[in-house]
This record gives sequence, C-alpha cells and structure tokens, in this order.
Amino acid sequence: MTADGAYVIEIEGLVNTVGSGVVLHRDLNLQVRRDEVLSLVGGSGSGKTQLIRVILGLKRPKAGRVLVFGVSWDDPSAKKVRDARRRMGMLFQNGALYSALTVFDNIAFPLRERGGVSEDEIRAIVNTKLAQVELEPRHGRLLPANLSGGMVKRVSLARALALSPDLLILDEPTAGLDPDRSESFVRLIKRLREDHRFAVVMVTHDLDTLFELTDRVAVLADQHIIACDTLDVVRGMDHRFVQNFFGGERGRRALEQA
Amino acid sequence: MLASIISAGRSGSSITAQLGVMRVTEEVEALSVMGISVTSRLVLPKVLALALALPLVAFCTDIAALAGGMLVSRFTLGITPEAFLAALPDAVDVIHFWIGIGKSIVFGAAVAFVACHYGLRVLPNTDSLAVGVTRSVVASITSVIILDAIFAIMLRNVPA
Repeated sequence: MTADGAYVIEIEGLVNTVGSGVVLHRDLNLQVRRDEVLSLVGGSGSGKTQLIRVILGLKRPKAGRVLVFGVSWDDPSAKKVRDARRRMGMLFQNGALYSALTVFDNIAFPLRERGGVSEDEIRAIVNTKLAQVELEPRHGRLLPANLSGGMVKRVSLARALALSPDLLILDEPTAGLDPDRSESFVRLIKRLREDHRFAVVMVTHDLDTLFELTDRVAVLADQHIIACDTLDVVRGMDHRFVQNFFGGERGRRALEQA
Repeated sequence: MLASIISAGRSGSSITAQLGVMRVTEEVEALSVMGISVTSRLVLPKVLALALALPLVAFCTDIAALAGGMLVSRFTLGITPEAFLAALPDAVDVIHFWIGIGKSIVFGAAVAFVACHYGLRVLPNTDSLAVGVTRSVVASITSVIILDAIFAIMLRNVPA
C-alpha cells in the first residue's frame, strides 16, 4: 500500500544500532495511517527517540525500509525527498526555536526557505498561525529567550504548522509544562487536528495526553513494536511493561479521568 | 598569517560555539527536518564571510605594520615618513601585498571550514561543546600554519 493510499509512514524490518554497534531495534515494523494519532510508548532506553530520528531521516538505519509519504530518505530524487520533508512538521521536546530569530521570523523561516511567497503573504500566514496556537501578533516581536515554556511549545507548534503539514511528529509535547498548561496544550493540539486532519505521531509518557489524543498506541519493547492497536486492546496485553505502564496508579487515574 | 591566527582564535571559536549550541538545542536538526541544507544555510555563509573579511583584516594589519615601521624608522634611524614611503616600492614588491591578500582568503575559508566541521560534530552535551571549541581552535591554527608552509613552497621563486 502506498503512502498516498493509506499510510504516511511505513517501516519494515528496521534494524537500528547505536554507539559501537549495540542493536537498539531489530525487525521493527510500524505503519501509521494518514488520519490517525499514533502514540509511541516504551520504557526509558527502549529507543523511542532514536526511532523518531530514523523516521525524520536524521539517522540512517542499519537495515530495513523506512518510507515517509512513500519516499525513502535515500531516494535519488532530491525533489521527492524535499517535498516529503515539507509535508511533515516536527515539535521538538525543547522547542528547538532559532534563538537568534524573533518568534515571527521563526514561524516565517520555513515559508521563506520554501520561497514563492511574498512578505505580505508571509505576514498574514504567520499571524494566522500565531492565532491558531492562541498567541497574539505582538508576541511575534519577542525572542525565544523571553518566552515561557508553554509559549515556546506553542511557537514551535506554529512553526511546525507553517507549511500546513500532513504529518505532525510530537516529541513529549507536554514535557516540562505544569498540569494546567499541559491540559490546555493538549486541547490545542486536539482542536488543531480536528480542524486540519493531519496525522500525528507522538512520543509521550504522559498518560493524560495519551488517553486524550490517541487513536492507536504502538508499544516499543524488546527491540521492536510488540503491539500497535487501540488503547483498549493494548491495555489488555499480558506484557510486563504494558501492565506496569497502564496498570499502575497513574494509569488507573488517567483512565478514570478519560 | 598573524591575522589568520587571531581570526582562528576569535572567529573560529565563535563559529564552533554557535554551531555547537545549535546542535545542543536541536536547531540544526530542526533545519534538516524542514528539508533545508545545513551546508548551504549554515556552513557556506560563514566560509564566504570569513574568506571576504580576513583580507580586510590582512589589509588593516599591513597598514598597521607599515605605520609601525615608519614610526620606528623615524625615531630610531631618523628616516622621514616621506623618505620611508619613497623607498618602500624598491624594498618590498607590490606582489607581496597581493600574495598576502590571496593567502588571507584561503586562510579565512580554511578557518571557517574547520570551525564549522567541529561545530557540527558537537554532541548534545556541554562537555562535548567545550572539547569541540578547543579542538577547533587548535586545528584552525594548525591548518593555517600548514597552508602557509605550502604557500611558502609554492611561492619560493617569487623575488623578495
């Protein structure tokens, strides 16, 4: 099945190593549908971030096939790779905003790099994106150093959405936020997704976020995806990590609130 | 060469630190994810900037060296500035000025390349940043000295 048919990400037989050849992932398979929120969960050191880096093309796997929008990052056509990259947005855990640029210029950056858009259009798009993440045009003049943690996340989300992506990758979207801001950020992502219907791949340890946003959960353990299904199905699995993760006190509390 | 070594310490370390911090804060990764070439967006402008700026610094150091020579000649040898300037073209051929400018372009590009190389190799931790900056300065100065030696061999037949 091609990416334009059903899947935005297809991973088959992935083998991934770190350091001096330590195998992190072995025979890992994962498919992400074009209209779903898939959460990636796993214990510390299971390689969630490394898997995201492989999906983003920041790390070359040892073996296996990784297609994003049907395109391999090793595709000889630079245009196909560039077009595939521009169809996805990434929210880094710490924002990764360009510290030398203002909020406005950070959001305008991918638009200016893509080209073909006038400065007037860029101003209009940036103000729209600021409004989408519940910020005002005056915030555009601030530098990232002057922003709170929650605002950094919002600006980073606005930048990720600047090119209206079909796939959004979120790395611990609520990490470092207090419970109120975390809740409001999750609501924001939920609303944006309902409006724009992009696929989401999310790495999270926050069970509240997981229960609030997720369509399917992929569990990364024992070097591969041991399950990828709805929350109800995955929670019923007889696996030590799954039982600890969902069956603990935090899991039960999040389930009650969901 | 003196200007290049000063530049390696000042601008080279600054470039490595800047790129290193961008690695630590994942700004470089953010560029790659957006499909933007790190080489053309971060490396090339710095290489071109230093290759253009270092000849200007070299020109300034040439002027400062001549002014210093003129002052010392005036007060220790009693040679007037007019006589100094009149004798200068016979003492030093103008080709040496252009060789100096040409070398500074190459040195500038080399310092920036080395600094960018070490900056982009920084791992996401502060120790790696400190090590990267130190290595960058040492490697930049070494590369300038090696390039100068190569120039000396290539230009050995140029008259003094």
